[in-house]
Amino acid sequence: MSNTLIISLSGYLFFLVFAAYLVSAFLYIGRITLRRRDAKHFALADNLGAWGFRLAIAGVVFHLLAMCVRWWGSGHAPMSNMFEYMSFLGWSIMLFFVILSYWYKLPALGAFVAPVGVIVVAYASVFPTEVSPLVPALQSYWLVLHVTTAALGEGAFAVSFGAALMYLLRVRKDSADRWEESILEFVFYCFSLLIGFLITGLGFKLAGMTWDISLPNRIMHYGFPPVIGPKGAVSGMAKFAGVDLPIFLAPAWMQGANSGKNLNTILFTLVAGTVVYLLLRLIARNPLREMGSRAVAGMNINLLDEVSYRGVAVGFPLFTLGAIVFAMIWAQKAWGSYWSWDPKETWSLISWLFYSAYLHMRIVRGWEGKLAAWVAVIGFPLIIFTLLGVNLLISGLHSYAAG
Amino acid sequence: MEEKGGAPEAELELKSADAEAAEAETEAAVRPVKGFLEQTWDFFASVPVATVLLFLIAAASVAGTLIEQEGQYSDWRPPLDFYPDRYGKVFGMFLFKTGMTRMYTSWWYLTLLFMLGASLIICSLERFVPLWKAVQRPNHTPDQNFVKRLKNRFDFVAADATNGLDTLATQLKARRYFVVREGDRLFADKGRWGRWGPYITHIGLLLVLAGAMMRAIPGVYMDQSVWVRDGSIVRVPGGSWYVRNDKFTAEFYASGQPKSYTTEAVVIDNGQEVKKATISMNNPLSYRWIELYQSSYRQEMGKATAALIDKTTGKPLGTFDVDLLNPADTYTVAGYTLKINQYFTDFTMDGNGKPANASNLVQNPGILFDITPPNGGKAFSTWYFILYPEMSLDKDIPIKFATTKDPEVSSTTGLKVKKDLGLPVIYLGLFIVTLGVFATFYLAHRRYWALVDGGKIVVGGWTNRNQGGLGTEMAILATLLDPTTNPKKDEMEGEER
Ligand code: HEM
Repeated sequence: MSNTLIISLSGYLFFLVFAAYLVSAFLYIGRITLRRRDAKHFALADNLGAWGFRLAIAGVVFHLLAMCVRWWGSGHAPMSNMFEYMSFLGWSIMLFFVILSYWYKLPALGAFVAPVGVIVVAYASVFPTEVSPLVPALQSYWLVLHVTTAALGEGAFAVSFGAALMYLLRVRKDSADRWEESILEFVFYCFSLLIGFLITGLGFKLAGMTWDISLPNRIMHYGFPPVIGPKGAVSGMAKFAGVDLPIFLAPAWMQGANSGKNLNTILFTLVAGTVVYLLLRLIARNPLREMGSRAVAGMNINLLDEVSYRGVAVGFPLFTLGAIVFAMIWAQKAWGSYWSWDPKETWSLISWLFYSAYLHMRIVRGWEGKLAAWVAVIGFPLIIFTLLGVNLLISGLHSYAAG
Repeated sequence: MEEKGGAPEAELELKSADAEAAEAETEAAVRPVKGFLEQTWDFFASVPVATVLLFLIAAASVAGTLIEQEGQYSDWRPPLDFYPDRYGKVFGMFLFKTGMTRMYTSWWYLTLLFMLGASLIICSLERFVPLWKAVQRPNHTPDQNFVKRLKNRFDFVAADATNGLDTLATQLKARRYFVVREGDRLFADKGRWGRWGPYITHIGLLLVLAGAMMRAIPGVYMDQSVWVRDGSIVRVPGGSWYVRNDKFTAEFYASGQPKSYTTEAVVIDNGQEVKKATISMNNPLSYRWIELYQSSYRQEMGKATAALIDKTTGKPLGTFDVDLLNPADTYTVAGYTLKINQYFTDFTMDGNGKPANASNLVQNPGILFDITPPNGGKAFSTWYFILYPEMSLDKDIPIKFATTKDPEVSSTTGLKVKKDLGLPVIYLGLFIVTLGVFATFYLAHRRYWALVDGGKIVVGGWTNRNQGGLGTEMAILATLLDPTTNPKKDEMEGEER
């Protein structure tokens, strides 16, 4: 078989796996919704949960297969660009979800963690999926060890995030602090933003729509209609639905060459995400935190607390080894300096310090429980920021940086 | 602020590390005045303080990635011009003055790290002895009520007490427990390393910090670079040996992305070739504690062929080869003697309009020749720019130059020369940290106490983590030892039925 054929085979596998995860997440959400309706639906609900579990396992197995096939086809470990990396992270999230939900007999976790896995895998496919040749800095086994081990730890953190969110929704009372209420709602809003971004972004991508803006020194490729153009662009350089674009330009004080494009992406995310949020609210006829609280009503508080701690406990050693130890060894081999305060490096240190602080909070009386759960919830967005935000907003020397 | 943990052990005469520490604090609190030293000690030994420190360091690091750091911003201006412009006059200067523009070397960031180090040391010292007593010298025969009040407990009926305890001991040994029998009492435990895990982690971290601090010691740390042309030998800075570059190669993919940069290097020490290696990214060469890393390269010009042309006829008078890396003093072409007066390898004009070198690389060579024509003609001087031969500055001279064969490309490899004697310490520290975190979270310290009470045997269990795992193990043991009293139960569910 030719290499391109093998790689496209792995592409089909990836698609199947994504479908499996998506259906699994919906089954879990269906399960938890039915369960809250009436005790007489328990049997049907548990049936849905069992199928969600099977699909998730099948997804994890075939995902592993897809990655191996891609490795075989490309000749190097599939850890060399953002698509491959995010896809691995999605796998790791689903893997730890399967393990921990089985361990603790807590299928309800599926309604909160499986969607995170789906979002991450979907996000992976926003990036170019072509096999990229290895630039010299990436030709190292230490790099492969570094990213895989770190991503495994991050997968466990995602489970902790889901369980901690469930814990917070479970212990929440209507009379609770207004700040806390707003932040909980904001967490759901952020979910909606991600979903909005993914639906529009993947929609344009699947429809094969891209926009080019030609500047004197470079061409900017846009995945969204370029409402906000780069500095130096003129209206009419691109068109969408008959409207001359760009309408606005990136403000002068933004220095990055990509700032126009990034602002444009943020604009689309905000608009689409807000629409998603409003739709969900319309369906729920309640604030989303209210819906979440109802979903977890009656669950064992201590168990939720234990699972959210366990996620960090299982993930922390892996994250330490991958994101700190292997990262330092790789940096030393590649650049001759184990630590150079590059933004990406610094952000993994920040996440690591944050989770260390979480672990110590848990042994201080009065700081465990709700406060620690909030830290576990915030930890995962920090991880995601390390992976994506640093590239989008602060650039460093990591050659993954997606344009 | 109190710490929790080790609750059941607090009821033993031998208390857990935390309980002991807490007690020491209470004792101290009874005394009216604490000395300054004691207060400092307590401050650094406290976990809440450590937690806050970790959050503070994280927050400072966040700020460091948001504020453009000196040496990382992409602007040619010096900091004092750049920052006021970038962040506003007042705020920019504020950032600069407080060291936030060089966050990770600022005195207060280093102070935070130093405090973390102090906290790690004091915390470990404070807890070492109590923990050692609690883990390594456990009380095998605690008060009966202690066992009976443990949360994880089961009973089993045995016809003969000794026999029953023996069966339990066999079962526990098969599960790799360390078992002690004292009369009609039994004690068993496993996974002691799990308790030491956090301390191992903390010691590893101290080693990493120490390894990083070692660079302040003279002679421990060096960070330099050398440029070595193809075929040439250069003395390695900071070493008494030399490196020769046999060939530098840069390869590219069809897309234009770089594929590999390699230097065929030879180490020459005391006139002997002692080591041959191919340096590439991710594959440094190391010799005598110094490592050479592939860090960049330059393409320069080697041999070129020039022609001397008669200005009036436009005919070439003759050609000559110039090795731009190593030109001869004089050349003779068709009776003309060309003597090099000045040679600039990378010609430019300096601020005063005088010729100068932009770099010490051969990238834009310019030669000022003193030329003596044949047959006693009048001597004159003129410039020859190899890349721009038509740039003839002098009008009233009889000849001009042409470059008939463009210069060959000669590569120069850029090697980073790095010495860091702290590195072994750091690697050791990282190794220990890894062992420590895995021991902490992947090993649980489990303990059993058993005693005979009337016709039955009471077994109590305790673990420092993964309560569920202990529960499962105890349920299995209970059913195994006495299925009648302890029938198999359904497993716990997280949600209500
Ligand atoms: C970056 C810095 C640090 C890291 C990565 C770290 C790591 C850890 C880890 C992984 C644990 C185990 C937590 C658990 O069982 O859930 C732990 C426990 C602990 N840490 Fe740290 N630590 C750090 C700094 C400190 C400092 C500065 C102190 C000083 C007060 C400290 C005091 C403790 C104590 C008292 C425990 C509990 C030990 C026990 O269970 O016996 N840690 N640490």
